[in-house]
Amino acid sequence: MKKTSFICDRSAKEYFQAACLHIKTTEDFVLKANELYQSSPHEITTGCTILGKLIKRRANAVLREIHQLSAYIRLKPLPEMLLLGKCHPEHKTGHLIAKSLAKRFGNFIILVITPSDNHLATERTDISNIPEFKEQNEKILINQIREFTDKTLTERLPVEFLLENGDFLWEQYYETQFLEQRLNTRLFHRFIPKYVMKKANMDIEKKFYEDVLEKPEETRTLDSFFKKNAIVK
Amino acid sequence: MPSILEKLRILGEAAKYDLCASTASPRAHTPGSIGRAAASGVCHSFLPDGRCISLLKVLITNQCIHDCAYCVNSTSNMKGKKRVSTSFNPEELAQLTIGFYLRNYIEGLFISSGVGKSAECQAEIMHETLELLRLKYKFDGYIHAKVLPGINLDNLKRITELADRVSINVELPNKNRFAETCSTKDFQNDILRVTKWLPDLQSQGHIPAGYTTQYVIGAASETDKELLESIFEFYTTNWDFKRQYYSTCLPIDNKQKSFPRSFFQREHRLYQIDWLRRIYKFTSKELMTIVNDEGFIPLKEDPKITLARRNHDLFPIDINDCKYMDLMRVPGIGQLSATRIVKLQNQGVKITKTQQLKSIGVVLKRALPFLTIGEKTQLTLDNFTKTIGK
Repeated sequence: MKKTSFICDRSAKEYFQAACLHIKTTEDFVLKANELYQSSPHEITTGCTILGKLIKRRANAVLREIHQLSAYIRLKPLPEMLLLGKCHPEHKTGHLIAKSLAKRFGNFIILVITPSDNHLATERTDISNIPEFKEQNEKILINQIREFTDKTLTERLPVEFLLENGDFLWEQYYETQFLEQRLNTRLFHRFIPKYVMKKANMDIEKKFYEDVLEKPEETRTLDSFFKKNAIVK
Repeated sequence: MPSILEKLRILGEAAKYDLCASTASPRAHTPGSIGRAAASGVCHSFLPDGRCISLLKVLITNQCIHDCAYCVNSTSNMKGKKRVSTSFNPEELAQLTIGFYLRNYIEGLFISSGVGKSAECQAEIMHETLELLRLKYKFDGYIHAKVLPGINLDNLKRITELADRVSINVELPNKNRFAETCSTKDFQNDILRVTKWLPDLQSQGHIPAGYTTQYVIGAASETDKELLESIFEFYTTNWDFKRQYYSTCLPIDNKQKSFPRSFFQREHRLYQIDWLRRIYKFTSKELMTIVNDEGFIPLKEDPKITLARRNHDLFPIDINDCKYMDLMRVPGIGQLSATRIVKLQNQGVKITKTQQLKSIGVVLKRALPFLTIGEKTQLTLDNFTKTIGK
């Protein structure tokens, strides 16, 4: 039994909706899940049947991805009150990541670019309808959105907040915060697993982590590890 | 004049020993502002040492008139060394904070400072920075401000009006231990006098996320008993600290590559006892019984298991018929799993298998000797001692 299968922290509706966004979810699965949700929702919340457990497991994977990517995705501010971010979600969560970021940056328009689609979201009340932008070329896409914001918004982000070399400044700052004496790579990977680093394009963290690990060269291969930790009989 | 990059490196490096964790603030969101301090904060990055980066943690200046033995910026540790002194101006710091915030690198700002000319002077600059962020740039993210020792009430009040949380570093448990590490600050006047104002300010609606403090572990010859006495006192209603942090005193110049992990064990045990007091609601009196004759917490055993063993007459408890507070005393059952068990009890669901407990999140290895499931005791305490307790 999976650790999460007996937990009932969310409603059956939330689990069902989230499970529908899972990459492996088919139309047939949605129909069966909907049937279960309508007839006996407690089977989903408690995960006491095979289908209920599967729905819950898929929902948790989707919800976890939304939470992680909303925190780890890096944004690029543009003067037209636009925040642009790129990520590679495994599930169909792009629009929810954009929505979650829009809640945090209420004044801005959020554009999340995923390999399959572009997702725009905002909480601004003066923009009623955002058209769909299907353009695959990033430059053209940004130009199209800029044209749209030019027409709808007069407000502009002050230049000083654009922080021209912001990513470089952050990289330098990130490195200063590391305490060598406390090195704990296991804990690091518990919070940022390798696959999440890839999904959220966390290049700064990845590079620094590799730099830190490169130092103890003697434990990089299994041979050197056994040599170092040799058991004397 | 150092560039902003150099300043960030120097003042970021100088602030890395300060601790802050929660970014949750119940403050209401101002529409039209930049950002939002959410009810449950989120960490935006982690370091290879396992610590999270949720705030931009910097000093305003690394110049300091005090001679604290444990601090990288103190006069005693700066003496005869080539260290660059620099400071941020409020405008630079505000721009950096919002710039990083918009890039989704941080959840807010943690602002601290060395005491350059005087505490009042630095407090003025700190207030100016906060005012710039909150009023001019309408920044609505989380702000944690460090209160400088010896600051006056007016300046403290002005800072607490704008920050979500403030903290004042007590550093050591009492006056004597404090005097061992610092000759320029007075424990009573500079630390306790300022700390005493905080409960009043909070009751006036300032600092919505509360106030915290931090101890340096091992900076003087303090015992755990002294530390625990001070910690428990600060959790009483007289002081009402939200939480307290513990940081092992690291050698300033000797950055050894292979640092023994046991070095941090004392800090870990203090955190465990802090949680038992704050979250698990154990009384200070019973937690003090863990301390040995020399005044230290035994490092080999989990304090919760020690207490459960000593109070063996309370166990085993029936998992399907017990209260929340009883569950919280069982090793291997935390706040979340206790809540889930009570929720299931209220729904009329009976737990009949250990596997169900596992799926709830209970650590079976620790919990089973103290539980009965369906009238069956799972493991005797004797067996438990033989297998796990060693």
